[in-house]
Parts: sequence; structure tokens; C-alpha cells
Amino acid sequence: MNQEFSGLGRFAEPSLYILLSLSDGPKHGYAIMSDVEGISGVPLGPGTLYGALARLEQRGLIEALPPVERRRPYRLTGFGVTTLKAQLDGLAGFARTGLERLQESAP
Amino acid sequence: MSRLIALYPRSWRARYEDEFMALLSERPPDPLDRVDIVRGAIDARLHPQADPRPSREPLEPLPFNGPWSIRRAGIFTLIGGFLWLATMWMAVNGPIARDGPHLYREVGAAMATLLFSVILLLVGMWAVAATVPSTSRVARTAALIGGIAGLFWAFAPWMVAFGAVMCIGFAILAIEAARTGRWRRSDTAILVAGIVAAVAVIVAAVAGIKPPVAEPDVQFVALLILAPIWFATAHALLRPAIPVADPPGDPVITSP
Repeated sequence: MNQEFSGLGRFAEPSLYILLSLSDGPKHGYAIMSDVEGISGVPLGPGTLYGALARLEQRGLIEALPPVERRRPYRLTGFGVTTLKAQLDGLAGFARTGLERLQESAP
Repeated sequence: MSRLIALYPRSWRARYEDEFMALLSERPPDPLDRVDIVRGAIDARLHPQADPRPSREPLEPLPFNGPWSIRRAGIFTLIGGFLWLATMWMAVNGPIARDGPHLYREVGAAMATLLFSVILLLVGMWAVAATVPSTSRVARTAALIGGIAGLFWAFAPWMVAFGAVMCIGFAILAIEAARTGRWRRSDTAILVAGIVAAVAVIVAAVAGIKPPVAEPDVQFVALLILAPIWFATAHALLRPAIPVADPPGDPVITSP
């Protein structure tokens, strides 16, 4: 887990899902919730969503766009893209190592 | 639902309420969501850093408030600060007199400079109050009460309670000015530190721990430590954290 995620506490995992959700373009709150539920299979509560959005915005990983009919879309910043990529690379390495070890220890 | 939203801090609601309500109208919350909203409200109160100002809404420039421009008020406050130092210098050099068992200094000569010094500080205080957002009602009220108390104190400096009320009012105003981005946090920290240090000297003196000065001068040490109020305010007014709006006047015509 890199530095940007280490201080997020219980919001770290939802934040990663949100960044992933925004990686294919800006989305507003409801669209993010639906997308995250589709990705993870676990519903994201509204309080958790906005707690994570506030933290990501404060850290400069996402930015708010002008609202459209009360719904405000968010998008990744350049820093957010870099951070998400680093995080996914780390997870990919983690998964690869785990799979290799399982394969080696298989009877 | 509005009851749940009301659990969030006011600044959070100012930033997120509209979009949050839009989200809840699209997806009505179930009981678990309601619990999650309450958890979110507790988090927003415990961790206000997760409560940012909208990233695309820059702070408004400070208003140009009539003939007493922000900068001019800063210069007056700075002069008041030097007058305050001069007042304390005159006070500690006044002749020592005796009132029964107690010694005190004759400070009549310093009364006039103290009066002008405090009045010039109140000019700065007024300018700061004029620049905080109109929604900062608590800070503005504190400034009004503190200003009135300061005026009484300027004429009757032996009534320490008035000075204390002025300092508390000023501290609240300075904290609000920093919170709303008008002041740098360092200016507010210096001002508050001055007040706290002065209070500490008084408390220590009452507790019997006196600074290494003659007994009649302890009060002047405490008052001297209040000087950062003038200088931090002057600095904040002369070099505000955000730009000051142009004064009204003839429009400037620039050639194409």
C-alpha cells in the first residue's frame, strides 16, 4: 500500500474502488456507487462514499467538476492516475507472487 | 432524511449536501445505509480534514471597505503596536509609589499612549471583522463585544476584565480569519500565543511564581507580552493571505 493510501484508514479500500471507478471517465456519486457495487459485489454506503470522496479530493487524487442538476461529477487528477497505477501494479505483483507460490506448493 | 444530514457539520453540508441529497433521492437509503450515514457524520466531525473547500471555488478577494482600506488599517495597527511598546516602556520607568503595604508605579504619563494604542488596535479589529465572511456571525459578534470592551479598557485600563474580554474577542476573530483563509495560520498562532503567554504570566504571578522583575512591574510584563496582538494583526492586514479587492473609482481604460 503506497503513502497516499496508508493514511486513509477504513476508507482505503473504498477509495481504491472509487479511483478505479473513475478511471474510465468522470462520474457522479450514484454512478460511482453502482459501478463500485458491480466491481466489488459489495454495496458502498453513502456515508462511506462521501467520506472517501472528501479524502481523495483533499489529497488531490480526484477533483470535482461543476454540478449538473445537483449531481456533481468527479474525475481523476493526473496525480490520481499515477497513484492508482502504482497501487494496481503493487496489487498485481502481490497476486502474481501468491499464485506462483500456490502453484509451487501444489501436490 | 434531513435529520440525518443535520448530523454533519455545517461546512460539510455547505459543500456536499446538494449532491448528497441528489444521491439519496436516486437511491433511497435502507437501514444499513442510514447507519453508514451516521458513521459518516461522526467521521466528518472527528476528522474535519476530510471536509475540504470546493476545489474549483477560489476565495473571494477581501472587500475594500470604504475610506479605511485594509492596508491603511494595517498601518494604523502597526503604529498602535509601537505606541503599546512605548506605553510599557514609560510605565516601567514611572516613579514607584507606595499605597500602604503595596508598591506601585505612577503611570499617568503612559495613559494617553495606552488610549491611542488600544484605539488603533480597535481600528485593525474592525477591519478584520469587515473582511471575514458575513456568515461568520459568532466571530463578528465576538469582535463587536470585544471592541466595546476594548474601548472601555482604553479609558480605564485598571479594569482588567474589559481587556480580557477584548483579547478573547480578538482571539475568536483571528481564529475565524484563519479558518476562512483570510489570515495565515502563523499570524493567528502568534496572536493567540501572545494572549496565552500573558495569561500564563498573570496566573503564575497569582500562584506566587513571579518573573524576575520588580513586583510592581509584573503586570507590565503581562501587558508587554500582549504586543503580538498588534503586530500579528498589522501583518495580516498589510500582507493578507488573499488579495484585497480594488477600491471603487474610475474604471481603468487600457489600450487594446
